[in-house]
Amino acid sequence: MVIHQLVARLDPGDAISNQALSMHELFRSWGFESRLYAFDMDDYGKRFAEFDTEYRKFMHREEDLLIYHFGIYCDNHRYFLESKNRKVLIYHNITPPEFYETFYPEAERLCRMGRELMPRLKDCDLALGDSDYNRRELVEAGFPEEKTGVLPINPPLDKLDNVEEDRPFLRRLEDGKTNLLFVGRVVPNKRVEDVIKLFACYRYGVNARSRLVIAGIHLATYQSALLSFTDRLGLLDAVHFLGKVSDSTLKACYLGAHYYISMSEHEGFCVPLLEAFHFGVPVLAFAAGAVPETMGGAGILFVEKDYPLLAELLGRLDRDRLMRERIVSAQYRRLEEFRTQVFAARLREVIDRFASPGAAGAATARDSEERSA
Amino acid sequence: MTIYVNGRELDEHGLAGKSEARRRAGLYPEGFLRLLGRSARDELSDSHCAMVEEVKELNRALYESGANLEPPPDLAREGERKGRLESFLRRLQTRFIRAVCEGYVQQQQFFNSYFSKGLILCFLQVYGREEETPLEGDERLDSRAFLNPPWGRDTEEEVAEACAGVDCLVLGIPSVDFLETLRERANLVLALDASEEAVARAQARMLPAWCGTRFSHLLELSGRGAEVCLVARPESLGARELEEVLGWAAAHLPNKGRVLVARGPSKAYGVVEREGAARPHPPAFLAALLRRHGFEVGELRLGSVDFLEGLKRGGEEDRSSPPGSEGGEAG
Repeated sequence: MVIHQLVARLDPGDAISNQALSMHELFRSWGFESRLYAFDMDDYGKRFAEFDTEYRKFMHREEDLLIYHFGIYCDNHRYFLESKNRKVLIYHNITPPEFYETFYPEAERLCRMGRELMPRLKDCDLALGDSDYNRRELVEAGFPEEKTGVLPINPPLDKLDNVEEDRPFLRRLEDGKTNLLFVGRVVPNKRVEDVIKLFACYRYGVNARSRLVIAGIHLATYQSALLSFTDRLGLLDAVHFLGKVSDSTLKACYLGAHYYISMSEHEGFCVPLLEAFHFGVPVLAFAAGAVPETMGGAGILFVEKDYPLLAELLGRLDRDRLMRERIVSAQYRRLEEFRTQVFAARLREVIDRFASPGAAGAATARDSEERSA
Repeated sequence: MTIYVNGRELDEHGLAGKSEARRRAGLYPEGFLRLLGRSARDELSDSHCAMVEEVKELNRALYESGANLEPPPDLAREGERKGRLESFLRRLQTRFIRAVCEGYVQQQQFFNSYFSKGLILCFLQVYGREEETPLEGDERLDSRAFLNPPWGRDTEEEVAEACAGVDCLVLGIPSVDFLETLRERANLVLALDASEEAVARAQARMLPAWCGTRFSHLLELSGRGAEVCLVARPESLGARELEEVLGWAAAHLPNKGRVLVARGPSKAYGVVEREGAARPHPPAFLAALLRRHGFEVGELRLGSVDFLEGLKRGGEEDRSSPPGSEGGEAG
């Protein structure tokens, strides 16, 4: 059995790409022949994947398994529809298009088309959400409940552990100020303006010795609006938009952060929450989408955005070391459930439903034959 | 509001009480709270307007240079044809988004430069300075401490007395004790300082203090007015910012409202020669600035510090004398 994975795009730092790559490595380590295809990819992606047109020649093979990572509309869904392979859909969630309205019409269109497409993909052997929130959306879209399941994300924490932090940047963060951090794509559903509002209340009302660091690739129109808003609040010298950062700078961000803030109003999983857990940064997050599920009872969740009150809560955490420690401990405990071994076991269960005994071994034998030839 | 800490509901009454106390103390003025209701989309329309203006300029320049970029130059505000403008804006939006997000339109650099300017400014704060160079607020604090020692208790008492019973703004925090005294004797509306340290100390005592380097902008943001504007540390402001602050005072103080400006040393001696170090403004310059904004200028000694007192006149403004044109001392 050959395992094919199909994604819209493969590039570093993206949660879907990371997930696909992590599965690709596991499949190979288990002895399966694993192939990865993308509609589009950068040089990094080309090291692991082929363009999706290469998949065509495998479409008729009934013994193979096709895993389609679905997170936005992409023309390569047609391969999934037409393939004779056994089929697994992994739904990473699609941002409701209205978030992109006026900011990015093209993304709005792709998200709308993606959501409209969902019911047509239900003819598969198994549909997995990377959170139960996502799985429920599949059921709402018409997927038979008994054919759905949950396969959580495997956060790429080892990658951050293995890289050395950007020391000059970390030194700058460790200057005695309190650092609030947001990591993620700077796009409208993340409500970065609300993070800035909370920071404004914290800096103007509770602790002037503070800064906000925002790390992540930005959507230019939204970013320009955020810059304008930050300027209006008189905070341009205290809010730092880093744009897309390297793993080394990202690690420095987490190491230098005192709090991680999420005001996002739509999340299918939210990997940065777990990265913050990993680095012992207390998380304050708005309870929206899959965020409560990912947090799993650790960290701080709130259901209303009362900025002065939340700023006061940050002030309390500044002073109350015990409370802070309790939060960090709970976050570490929660993180155990997302370790690679746990993910690998769950993924193996999924694959074993499709693999006939000896399928992996056959691939290993074929691999060694190819190597010796 | 419900907050869960490690899955358990937090009793937030204490937090709510404290937050309300800060609001009452003036740390969250109404003007500021109103801004918290603003959405990113509201900002986008402003940015778009600015962008549209820039694109029109670009288009005009290209047209004049012989390049015939669409749309034709019938897009000026006067007598514009609505349908064409709308269609232009639609095309513009598409082009803009593609230019910035996908990067394949010739004018990409122009579009990008407009939006990345702000980004670069922010980024420089993190990466652009040399190692170990303190940030701006702290630099100002250092140089200020060197140039201008803290006020004595007698000065603090007399200044507080001079402001007794009225709404008072303080620009540059002489000491947190002074702010407390002022809160007791007068109505301290807001204190501004470029030093995060000084402001954090004030905030810890629930004193209305904000940190920033653009005082006039913060004054606008707070939406508060006052009868006395005390510029306690003029040397912590650049000449342009000082001019803007006095412009704000001229526009917002009521008639007979006062500006008190602490006079620095008459010569700029002993200034630390490094980037960001503040130099005291000569008294003649301060006096001329006050006059320029329509204030009647007098002198005042409170405790051991000399002040220039600017009294807002009700009538016409005398803007004939540029700053620095009058030699010697004020008064």
